[in-house]
Amino acid sequence: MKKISLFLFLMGIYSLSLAQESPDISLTLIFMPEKYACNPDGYADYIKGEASGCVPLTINQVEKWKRAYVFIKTEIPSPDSNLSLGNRLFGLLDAYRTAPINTADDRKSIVVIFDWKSARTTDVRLTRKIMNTTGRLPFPEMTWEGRLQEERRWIHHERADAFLPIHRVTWILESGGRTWEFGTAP
Amino acid sequence: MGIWHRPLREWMNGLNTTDPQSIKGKLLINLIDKLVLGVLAAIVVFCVQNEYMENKKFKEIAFEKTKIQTELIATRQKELAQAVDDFIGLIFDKDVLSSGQLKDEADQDKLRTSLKKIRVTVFYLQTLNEKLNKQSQKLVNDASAIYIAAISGAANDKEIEDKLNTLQISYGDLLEEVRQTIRDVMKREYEGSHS
Repeated sequence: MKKISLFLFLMGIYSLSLAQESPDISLTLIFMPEKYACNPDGYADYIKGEASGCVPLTINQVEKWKRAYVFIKTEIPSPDSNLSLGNRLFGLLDAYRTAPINTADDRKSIVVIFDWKSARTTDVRLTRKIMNTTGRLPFPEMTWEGRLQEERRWIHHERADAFLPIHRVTWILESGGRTWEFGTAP
Repeated sequence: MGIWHRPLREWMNGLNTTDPQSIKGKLLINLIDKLVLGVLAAIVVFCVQNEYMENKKFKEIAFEKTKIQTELIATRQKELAQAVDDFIGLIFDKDVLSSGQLKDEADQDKLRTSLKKIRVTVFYLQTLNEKLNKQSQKLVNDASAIYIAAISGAANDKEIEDKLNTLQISYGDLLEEVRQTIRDVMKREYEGSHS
Protein backbone atom coordinates (compact mmCIF):
# COMPACT_ATOMS: atom_id res chain seq x y z
CA MET A 1 0.00 0.00 0.00
CA LYS A 2 2.82 2.30 0.91
CA LYS A 3 4.50 1.51 -2.41
CA ILE A 4 1.35 2.42 -4.36
CA SER A 5 0.93 5.75 -2.58
CA LEU A 6 4.63 6.53 -3.15
CA PHE A 7 4.17 5.71 -6.85
CA LEU A 8 1.09 7.94 -7.07
CA PHE A 9 2.94 10.71 -5.26
CA LEU A 10 5.85 10.49 -7.72
CA MET A 11 3.47 10.42 -10.68
CA GLY A 12 1.78 13.55 -9.32
CA ILE A 13 5.10 15.38 -9.07
CA TYR A 14 6.05 14.24 -12.59
CA SER A 15 2.77 15.42 -14.14
CA LEU A 16 3.08 18.71 -12.26
CA SER A 17 6.56 19.24 -13.67
CA LEU A 18 5.27 18.41 -17.16
CA ALA A 19 2.50 20.96 -16.76
CA GLN A 20 5.04 23.58 -15.71
CA GLU A 21 7.26 22.80 -18.67
CA SER A 22 4.51 23.06 -21.27
CA PRO A 23 4.51 26.51 -22.83
CA ASP A 24 1.70 28.92 -22.01
CA ILE A 25 1.77 30.95 -25.17
CA SER A 26 1.81 30.06 -28.81
CA LEU A 27 3.15 32.47 -31.41
CA THR A 28 2.15 33.04 -35.01
CA LEU A 29 4.52 35.10 -37.15
CA ILE A 30 3.33 36.41 -40.51
CA PHE A 31 5.72 37.98 -43.04
CA MET A 32 3.73 40.58 -44.95
CA PRO A 33 3.82 44.02 -46.58
CA GLU A 34 4.31 46.82 -44.09
CA LYS A 35 1.55 48.90 -45.65
CA TYR A 36 -1.02 46.26 -44.60
CA ALA A 37 0.43 45.57 -41.15
CA CYS A 38 0.48 49.29 -40.48
CA ASN A 39 -2.44 50.55 -42.49
CA PRO A 40 -2.60 52.85 -44.44
CA ASP A 41 0.91 54.22 -45.03
CA GLY A 42 3.35 52.02 -43.13
CA TYR A 43 5.53 53.17 -40.27
CA ALA A 44 5.93 56.93 -39.92
CA ASP A 45 9.70 56.77 -39.86
CA TYR A 46 11.14 53.43 -40.85
CA ILE A 47 14.74 54.20 -39.95
CA LYS A 48 14.10 55.84 -36.59
CA GLY A 49 11.21 53.53 -35.84
CA GLU A 50 9.12 56.36 -34.48
CA ALA A 51 5.53 55.79 -33.40
CA SER A 52 3.11 55.47 -36.27
CA GLY A 53 -0.55 56.10 -36.75
CA CYS A 54 -1.31 52.51 -37.69
CA VAL A 55 -4.91 51.37 -37.68
CA PRO A 56 -5.21 48.64 -34.97
CA LEU A 57 -5.41 45.15 -36.43
CA THR A 58 -8.17 42.68 -35.63
CA ILE A 59 -7.75 38.95 -35.15
CA ASN A 60 -10.13 38.16 -38.03
CA GLN A 61 -8.13 40.32 -40.38
CA VAL A 62 -4.83 38.75 -39.37
CA GLU A 63 -6.20 35.19 -39.56
CA LYS A 64 -7.22 35.87 -43.18
CA TRP A 65 -3.74 37.06 -44.03
CA LYS A 66 -2.34 33.70 -43.04
CA ARG A 67 -3.86 32.35 -46.26
CA ALA A 68 -2.04 34.89 -48.43
CA TYR A 69 1.33 35.26 -46.75
CA VAL A 70 4.11 33.11 -45.35
CA PHE A 71 3.65 32.35 -41.68
CA ILE A 72 4.91 30.04 -38.95
CA LYS A 73 3.16 28.89 -35.81
CA THR A 74 5.21 27.85 -32.85
CA GLU A 75 5.30 27.73 -29.06
CA ILE A 76 7.03 30.48 -27.14
CA PRO A 77 10.62 29.25 -26.74
CA SER A 78 11.66 27.83 -23.41
CA PRO A 79 14.28 29.80 -21.44
CA ASP A 80 17.74 29.81 -23.01
CA SER A 81 16.43 28.77 -26.41
CA ASN A 82 15.48 30.73 -29.48
CA LEU A 83 12.52 30.92 -31.76
CA SER A 84 13.26 28.77 -34.78
CA LEU A 85 12.20 30.57 -37.98
CA GLY A 86 12.37 27.56 -40.29
CA ASN A 87 13.73 27.46 -43.84
CA ARG A 88 10.95 29.37 -45.51
CA LEU A 89 10.72 32.37 -43.21
CA PHE A 90 14.45 32.49 -42.64
CA GLY A 91 15.04 32.39 -46.42
CA LEU A 92 12.68 35.32 -46.87
CA LEU A 93 14.28 37.37 -44.11
CA ASP A 94 17.73 36.55 -45.42
CA ALA A 95 16.77 37.74 -48.90
CA TYR A 96 15.05 40.77 -47.38
CA ARG A 97 18.40 41.75 -45.87
CA THR A 98 19.84 42.36 -49.33
CA ALA A 99 16.72 43.36 -51.24
CA PRO A 100 16.24 47.04 -52.04
CA ILE A 101 13.57 48.54 -49.80
CA ASN A 102 13.41 52.05 -51.10
CA THR A 103 9.67 52.29 -51.26
CA ALA A 104 6.93 51.52 -48.75
CA ASP A 105 5.64 48.86 -51.17
CA ASP A 106 8.82 46.85 -50.80
CA ARG A 107 9.07 47.07 -47.03
CA LYS A 108 7.85 44.14 -44.94
CA SER A 109 6.62 43.65 -41.41
CA ILE A 110 6.23 40.68 -39.20
CA VAL A 111 2.90 40.48 -37.45
CA VAL A 112 3.02 38.38 -34.29
CA ILE A 113 -0.02 36.91 -32.57
CA PHE A 114 0.67 36.02 -28.94
CA ASP A 115 -1.96 33.44 -28.03
CA TRP A 116 -2.45 32.44 -24.37
CA LYS A 117 -4.17 29.21 -23.42
CA SER A 118 -7.06 30.98 -21.75
CA ALA A 119 -8.69 34.41 -21.74
CA ARG A 120 -7.40 36.90 -19.17
CA THR A 121 -7.41 40.52 -18.17
CA THR A 122 -3.89 41.81 -17.82
CA ASP A 123 -1.33 44.26 -19.11
CA VAL A 124 1.14 43.13 -21.76
CA ARG A 125 4.52 44.67 -22.35
CA LEU A 126 6.98 43.72 -25.07
CA THR A 127 10.54 45.06 -25.21
CA ARG A 128 12.90 44.77 -28.17
CA LYS A 129 16.43 44.64 -26.86
CA ILE A 130 19.49 44.42 -29.09
CA MET A 131 22.28 42.33 -27.63
CA ASN A 132 24.79 43.24 -30.33
CA THR A 133 26.40 46.22 -28.66
CA THR A 134 29.33 46.56 -31.03
CA GLY A 135 28.98 49.57 -33.27
CA ARG A 136 25.78 51.36 -34.20
CA LEU A 137 22.45 49.69 -33.56
CA PRO A 138 20.72 48.71 -36.79
CA PHE A 139 17.43 49.99 -35.37
CA PRO A 140 16.33 51.38 -32.01
CA GLU A 141 15.35 49.43 -28.93
CA MET A 142 11.63 49.78 -28.36
CA THR A 143 8.86 48.91 -25.93
CA TRP A 144 5.25 48.28 -26.88
CA GLU A 145 2.44 48.09 -24.34
CA GLY A 146 -1.09 46.76 -24.53
CA ARG A 147 -3.86 45.20 -22.48
CA LEU A 148 -5.91 42.03 -22.69
CA GLN A 149 -9.57 42.43 -21.66
CA GLU A 150 -10.84 38.91 -21.09
CA GLU A 151 -8.96 38.00 -24.24
CA ARG A 152 -6.45 35.34 -25.24
CA ARG A 153 -4.65 37.01 -28.11
CA TRP A 154 -2.49 40.09 -28.44
CA ILE A 155 -1.33 41.34 -31.84
CA HIS A 156 2.02 42.99 -32.32
CA HIS A 157 3.86 44.06 -35.46
CA GLU A 158 7.25 45.55 -36.26
CA ARG A 159 9.81 45.82 -39.04
CA ALA A 160 10.60 42.38 -40.46
CA ASP A 161 14.38 42.62 -40.44
CA ALA A 162 14.42 42.81 -36.63
CA PHE A 163 13.74 39.07 -36.69
CA LEU A 164 16.93 38.26 -38.58
CA PRO A 165 19.12 36.27 -36.17
CA ILE A 166 22.18 38.27 -37.28
CA HIS A 167 20.88 41.32 -35.38
CA ARG A 168 20.79 39.36 -32.11
CA VAL A 169 17.54 40.87 -30.92
CA THR A 170 15.98 39.62 -27.71
CA TRP A 171 12.29 40.14 -27.07
CA ILE A 172 11.15 40.36 -23.48
CA LEU A 173 7.47 39.68 -22.96
CA GLU A 174 6.00 40.63 -19.59
CA SER A 175 2.47 39.78 -18.58
CA GLY A 176 0.65 38.81 -15.37
CA GLY A 177 3.85 38.94 -13.34
CA ARG A 178 5.71 36.57 -15.65
CA THR A 179 8.50 37.22 -18.08
CA TRP A 180 9.56 35.38 -21.23
CA GLU A 181 12.73 36.13 -23.14
CA PHE A 182 13.59 34.85 -26.58
CA GLY A 183 15.63 35.56 -29.68
CA THR A 184 15.45 34.06 -33.16
CA ALA A 185 17.41 31.30 -34.90
CA PRO A 186 17.36 29.99 -38.50
CA MET B 1 96.74 51.91 -74.90
CA GLY B 2 94.80 51.50 -71.69
CA ILE B 3 95.96 53.00 -68.46
CA TRP B 4 94.82 50.12 -66.30
CA HIS B 5 97.89 48.03 -67.08
CA ARG B 6 100.52 50.75 -66.67
CA PRO B 7 102.61 48.56 -64.32
CA LEU B 8 102.66 45.95 -67.05
CA ARG B 9 103.80 48.54 -69.62
CA GLU B 10 106.49 49.70 -67.27
CA TRP B 11 107.58 46.13 -66.88
CA MET B 12 107.61 45.77 -70.65
CA ASN B 13 109.64 49.00 -70.93
CA GLY B 14 112.14 47.36 -68.68
CA LEU B 15 112.75 44.93 -71.49
CA ASN B 16 115.32 45.80 -74.16
CA THR B 17 113.43 48.25 -76.46
CA THR B 18 116.27 48.51 -79.02
CA ASP B 19 115.92 44.79 -79.48
CA PRO B 20 113.66 43.54 -82.28
CA GLN B 21 112.00 41.68 -79.45
CA SER B 22 110.52 45.02 -78.39
CA ILE B 23 108.01 44.76 -81.26
CA LYS B 24 106.93 41.53 -79.79
CA GLY B 25 106.61 43.33 -76.50
CA LYS B 26 104.34 45.98 -78.05
CA LEU B 27 102.30 43.28 -79.70
CA LEU B 28 102.00 41.55 -76.39
CA ILE B 29 100.84 44.75 -74.72
CA ASN B 30 98.33 45.29 -77.50
CA LEU B 31 97.07 41.75 -77.14
CA ILE B 32 96.69 42.11 -73.40
CA ASP B 33 94.81 45.41 -73.95
CA LYS B 34 92.35 43.68 -76.25
CA LEU B 35 91.97 40.75 -73.91
CA VAL B 36 91.10 43.03 -70.99
CA LEU B 37 88.66 44.97 -73.13
CA GLY B 38 87.14 41.73 -74.36
CA VAL B 39 86.68 40.39 -70.84
CA LEU B 40 85.09 43.67 -69.75
CA ALA B 41 82.74 43.63 -72.74
CA ALA B 42 81.81 40.02 -71.97
CA ILE B 43 81.00 40.94 -68.36
CA VAL B 44 78.78 43.83 -69.52
CA VAL B 45 77.01 41.61 -72.06
CA PHE B 46 76.52 38.91 -69.43
CA CYS B 47 75.02 41.41 -66.97
CA VAL B 48 72.67 42.89 -69.56
CA GLN B 49 71.60 39.46 -70.74
CA ASN B 50 71.02 38.32 -67.18
CA GLU B 51 68.89 41.39 -66.48
CA TYR B 52 66.93 40.81 -69.68
CA MET B 53 66.27 37.16 -68.82
CA GLU B 54 65.15 38.05 -65.33
CA ASN B 55 62.84 40.71 -66.66
CA LYS B 56 61.46 38.32 -69.24
CA LYS B 57 60.85 35.67 -66.61
CA PHE B 58 59.12 38.19 -64.35
CA LYS B 59 56.87 39.29 -67.21
CA GLU B 60 56.02 35.70 -68.01
CA ILE B 61 54.98 35.07 -64.42
CA ALA B 62 52.94 38.30 -64.34
CA PHE B 63 51.25 37.35 -67.60
CA GLU B 64 50.50 33.87 -66.27
CA LYS B 65 48.92 35.42 -63.20
CA THR B 66 46.83 37.76 -65.34
CA LYS B 67 45.75 34.84 -67.46
CA ILE B 68 44.68 32.91 -64.38
CA GLN B 69 42.78 35.91 -63.03
CA THR B 70 40.91 36.56 -66.26
CA GLU B 71 40.18 32.85 -66.67
CA LEU B 72 38.76 32.70 -63.15
CA ILE B 73 36.58 35.73 -63.79
CA ALA B 74 35.35 34.15 -67.01
CA THR B 75 34.61 30.86 -65.22
CA ARG B 76 32.65 32.63 -62.48
CA GLN B 77 30.80 34.58 -65.14
CA LYS B 78 29.67 31.30 -66.72
CA GLU B 79 28.57 29.98 -63.33
CA LEU B 80 26.66 33.17 -62.69
CA ALA B 81 24.92 32.83 -66.04
CA GLN B 82 23.85 29.30 -65.07
CA ALA B 83 22.58 30.42 -61.66
CA VAL B 84 20.62 33.33 -63.15
CA ASP B 85 19.25 30.94 -65.79
CA ASP B 86 17.99 28.56 -63.11
CA PHE B 87 16.56 31.39 -61.05
CA ILE B 88 14.63 33.08 -63.84
CA GLY B 89 13.74 29.73 -65.40
CA LEU B 90 11.89 28.75 -62.25
CA ILE B 91 9.91 31.99 -62.25
CA PHE B 92 8.82 31.46 -65.86
CA ASP B 93 8.48 27.71 -65.55
CA LYS B 94 6.07 27.76 -62.67
CA ASP B 95 4.11 30.62 -64.12
CA VAL B 96 4.75 32.88 -61.18
CA LEU B 97 4.12 35.75 -63.54
CA SER B 98 0.44 35.00 -63.78
CA SER B 99 -0.26 33.66 -60.30
CA GLY B 100 2.03 36.08 -58.44
CA GLN B 101 3.37 33.38 -56.15
CA LEU B 102 5.52 30.26 -56.16
CA LYS B 103 3.41 28.02 -53.96
CA ASP B 104 5.08 24.63 -54.05
CA GLU B 105 7.55 24.26 -51.19
CA ALA B 106 9.98 22.15 -53.26
CA ASP B 107 10.04 24.90 -55.89
CA GLN B 108 10.56 27.50 -53.20
CA ASP B 109 13.57 25.53 -51.99
CA LYS B 110 14.91 25.39 -55.56
CA LEU B 111 14.48 29.15 -55.96
CA ARG B 112 16.25 29.69 -52.65
CA THR B 113 19.11 27.46 -53.77
CA SER B 114 19.41 29.42 -57.03
CA LEU B 115 19.47 32.70 -55.16
CA LYS B 116 22.16 31.29 -52.88
CA LYS B 117 24.15 30.20 -55.93
CA ILE B 118 23.93 33.73 -57.35
CA ARG B 119 25.15 35.15 -54.05
CA VAL B 120 28.04 32.69 -53.80
CA THR B 121 29.19 33.36 -57.37
CA VAL B 122 28.96 37.09 -56.85
CA PHE B 123 31.02 36.68 -53.69
CA TYR B 124 33.81 35.04 -55.72
CA LEU B 125 33.59 37.64 -58.49
CA GLN B 126 33.95 40.39 -55.92
CA THR B 127 36.96 38.61 -54.45
CA LEU B 128 38.62 38.42 -57.86
CA ASN B 129 38.15 42.05 -58.75
CA GLU B 130 36.77 44.77 -56.53
CA LYS B 131 35.61 46.79 -59.53
CA LEU B 132 32.78 44.28 -59.84
CA ASN B 133 31.48 44.90 -56.29
CA LYS B 134 28.84 47.52 -56.95
CA GLN B 135 27.21 46.04 -60.02
CA SER B 136 27.26 42.46 -58.75
CA GLN B 137 25.74 43.50 -55.42
CA LYS B 138 22.95 45.21 -57.33
CA LEU B 139 22.25 41.95 -59.14
CA VAL B 140 21.98 40.12 -55.80
CA ASN B 141 19.68 42.81 -54.43
CA ASP B 142 17.38 42.65 -57.43
CA ALA B 143 17.30 38.83 -57.37
CA SER B 144 16.47 38.96 -53.66
CA ALA B 145 13.56 41.31 -54.39
CA ILE B 146 12.13 38.81 -56.91
CA TYR B 147 12.61 35.96 -54.45
CA ILE B 148 10.66 37.83 -51.77
CA ALA B 149 7.91 38.79 -54.19
CA ALA B 150 7.59 35.21 -55.48
CA ILE B 151 7.64 33.51 -52.07
CA SER B 152 5.97 35.93 -49.71
CA GLY B 153 2.83 36.00 -51.77
CA ALA B 154 0.19 38.57 -52.64
CA ALA B 155 2.43 40.05 -55.30
CA ASN B 156 0.78 40.84 -58.59
CA ASP B 157 2.04 39.93 -62.03
CA LYS B 158 3.00 43.55 -62.78
CA GLU B 159 5.17 43.71 -59.67
CA ILE B 160 7.06 40.53 -60.58
CA GLU B 161 7.41 41.66 -64.18
CA ASP B 162 8.84 45.02 -63.11
CA LYS B 163 11.32 43.31 -60.84
CA LEU B 164 12.32 40.91 -63.63
CA ASN B 165 13.00 43.86 -65.92
CA THR B 166 15.15 45.44 -63.25
CA LEU B 167 17.06 42.16 -62.84
CA GLN B 168 17.56 41.91 -66.59
CA ILE B 169 19.13 45.39 -66.67
CA SER B 170 21.36 44.62 -63.66
CA TYR B 171 22.52 41.38 -65.24
CA GLY B 172 23.30 43.07 -68.56
CA ASP B 173 25.23 45.82 -66.78
CA LEU B 174 27.19 43.27 -64.77
CA LEU B 175 28.13 41.31 -67.90
CA GLU B 176 29.41 44.50 -69.49
CA GLU B 177 31.34 45.29 -66.32
CA VAL B 178 32.91 41.80 -66.34
CA ARG B 179 33.96 42.14 -69.98
CA GLN B 180 35.41 45.59 -69.34
CA THR B 181 37.30 44.29 -66.29
CA ILE B 182 38.83 41.44 -68.30
CA ARG B 183 39.82 43.89 -71.04
CA ASP B 184 41.36 46.28 -68.50
CA VAL B 185 43.37 43.52 -66.82
CA MET B 186 44.68 42.23 -70.17
CA LYS B 187 45.42 45.73 -71.44
CA ARG B 188 47.32 46.66 -68.30
CA GLU B 189 49.40 43.52 -68.59
CA TYR B 190 50.04 44.01 -72.32
CA GLU B 191 51.19 47.58 -71.78
CA GLY B 192 53.37 46.42 -68.91
CA SER B 193 55.06 43.78 -71.03
CA HIS B 194 55.77 46.19 -73.90
CA SER B 195 57.12 49.11 -71.93
